[in-house]
Amino acid sequence: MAPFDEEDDSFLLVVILETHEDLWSSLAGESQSADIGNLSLTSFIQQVLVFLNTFLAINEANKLVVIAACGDHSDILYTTASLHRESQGPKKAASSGNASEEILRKLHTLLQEEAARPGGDSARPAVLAGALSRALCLINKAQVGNGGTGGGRAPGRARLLVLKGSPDATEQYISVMNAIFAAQKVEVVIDACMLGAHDSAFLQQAAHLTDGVYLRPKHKGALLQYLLTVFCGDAFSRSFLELPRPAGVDFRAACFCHRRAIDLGYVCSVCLSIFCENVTDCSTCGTAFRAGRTPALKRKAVGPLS
Amino acid sequence: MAASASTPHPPENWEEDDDQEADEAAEMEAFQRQYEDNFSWEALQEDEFGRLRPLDFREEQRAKRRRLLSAAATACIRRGMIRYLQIVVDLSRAASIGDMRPNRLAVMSGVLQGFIRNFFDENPLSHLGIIITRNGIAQRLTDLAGSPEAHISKLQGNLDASGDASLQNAMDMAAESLKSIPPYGHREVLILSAALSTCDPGNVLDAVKAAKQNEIRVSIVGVAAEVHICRVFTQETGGTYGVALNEKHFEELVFEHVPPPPSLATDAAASLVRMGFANRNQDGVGGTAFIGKECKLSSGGFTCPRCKARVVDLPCSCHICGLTLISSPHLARSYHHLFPVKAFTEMPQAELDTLKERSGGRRERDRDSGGMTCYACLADLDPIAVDHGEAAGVSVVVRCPECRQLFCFDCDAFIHETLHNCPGCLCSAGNESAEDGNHAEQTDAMDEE
Repeated sequence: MAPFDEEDDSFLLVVILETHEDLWSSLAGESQSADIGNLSLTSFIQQVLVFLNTFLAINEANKLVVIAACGDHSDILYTTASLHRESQGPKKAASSGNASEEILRKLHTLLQEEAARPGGDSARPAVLAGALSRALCLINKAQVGNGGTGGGRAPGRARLLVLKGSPDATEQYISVMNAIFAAQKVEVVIDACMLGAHDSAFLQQAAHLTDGVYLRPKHKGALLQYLLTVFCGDAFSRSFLELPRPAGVDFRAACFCHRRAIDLGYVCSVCLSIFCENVTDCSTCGTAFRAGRTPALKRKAVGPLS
Repeated sequence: MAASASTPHPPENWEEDDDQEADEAAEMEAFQRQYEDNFSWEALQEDEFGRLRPLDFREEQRAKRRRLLSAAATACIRRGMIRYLQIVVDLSRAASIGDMRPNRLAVMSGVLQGFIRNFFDENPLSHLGIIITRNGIAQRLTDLAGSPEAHISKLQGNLDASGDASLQNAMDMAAESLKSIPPYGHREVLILSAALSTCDPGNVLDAVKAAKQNEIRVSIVGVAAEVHICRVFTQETGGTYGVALNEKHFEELVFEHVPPPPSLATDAAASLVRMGFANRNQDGVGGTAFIGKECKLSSGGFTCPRCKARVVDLPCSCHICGLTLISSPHLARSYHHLFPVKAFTEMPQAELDTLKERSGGRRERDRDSGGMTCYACLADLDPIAVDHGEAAGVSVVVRCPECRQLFCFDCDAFIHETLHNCPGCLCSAGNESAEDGNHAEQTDAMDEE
């Protein structure tokens, strides 16, 4: 964990919510059969709002940003007024009355807009990469601002929490990984709570690489309980908590040709594309590999290294 | 004065004037002339805390953007992603001179440690080794290896400078170790030189020839002054040569070698490399790894998928079967070199004004703050709104050519330096097609090489 200052233990929390109505209704449907409890969008929002208000109440200097990822676009639902204090002054402060009210109002408009959007492919997973990128830009800006003009930043003061239900979108792999590495660089912890039926490899890697917590709650009806116990504490109180341990992150790569997860593969030396079998030319960068040379080359490569 | 010499009979007083001018110029030192017409203090303003702030950030920001843009412009080319880099550190007695604080050696060692960390951050599949040269000979400090910690701990040990540097010995040793690397690897040598002379057993130009023959790219960063043989080395092998003006400049020059260099299709044979994605062992007693060569038992670690041997850290090559072991994040870390974010264009003030008027009403409904905001961080982009009370200064506004979203300067820098994602493009409806377009372009660019 980043070194922390005992004087001021407030921090910035950015929450990314997936607010896709179809997604939530399908999630509610699939879990109804078992006794694990279901979670509709309404109860999800209710529970998250309680969590967010708790977070704000723990320390009055805590700052909060809520970003909704909905289908093809993302929207910033709420930002604590003091986040942009330096640049925006009193104009913004007037609008921050009640966090829940503002979030609900914005969410309502967003969902209506989404419903009105013609021909939208509703089954598409939300833009996790876009929402993550926006969140990181916000955090970066806030940190640069806090550090003053000297350019120094105040690391370890920001956390990202992703609440996600849809399965991973493989076409977002590169952009999600870019976002994770950026988070690593600016020392932002990414916590993840996966509400879908299967583990999310993206979020597992994100939590693993940034020292965050990944959680897939068994009892989705009790989401609030998980949120309060696992994701509420600051960096310091976390050291006292028995947090869920990662069960094992899947670091295997998926090949570019069949999207199979592989143990042993071939990597193009020009563009680092991954293939599961020996191909003659790279489908990503178009480089032709010299056919028939690979076995000899392999032996050669092995020799000096072993 | 060339002008006065070419005029056959110049008027008397005119010549005098000219002489005076020449005298004045001669009185001024070279560094002073650079600042002659520079009134930078007039562009400063004091804020309520007594801090000095520039009135207009834009010039400073534009200069920074130019650097970023030049990096972005070179991004769309084929690069040598798998690098084998030998670093040669000059530990001759010239390295103990104190013109850099505390001395050249300490500065070189400090910068090099930072470089090694950054190098492995950006090039996770690459290898690096360190050679030192002093007393007329070259010594191997560390072998070509993939883990930064080993190199850094060696550098932190006491290194003392003495004797002369030997360019030829160092290059021979570097070439020898780079000879055995696989053909898809890019061979590079980076020399940090302090001495102005080299003490060689034979003809140093033979080393240049050998480097060229072995396709080794030699780059040199000097801390003293330009040396002819260094220039020859870099020119012949396609490397770069820079001489540092001061500590900061030295760091900049060295860090230029962090991103993978552009490569020609002929440089290294493209090939498919067999690699293993190692599984992480469980924590606890069952997950220990034993490396026989170092006779060390360590906890955790990874299992090689081919021979089931256990290794401690990734990326590495399996100590039993020699397979390159990596994890998928290592590959993903390099992808941003291949699929860079397009450079954003700066919005001229006039265009901003019209845009503001046109979209003011619509945006007011969206966001509670009037005017324009940065798409990523919601900071106000309207200079007039920003300027109330606080001397925040005027800032550059940029726009992504793809998604037409506006960004502030801070986000622009963050997106291109760290994030490597455009939030606007990822969030817009046509995000998939945009990304495909990017890939297609990439392919074209690579074909051209």
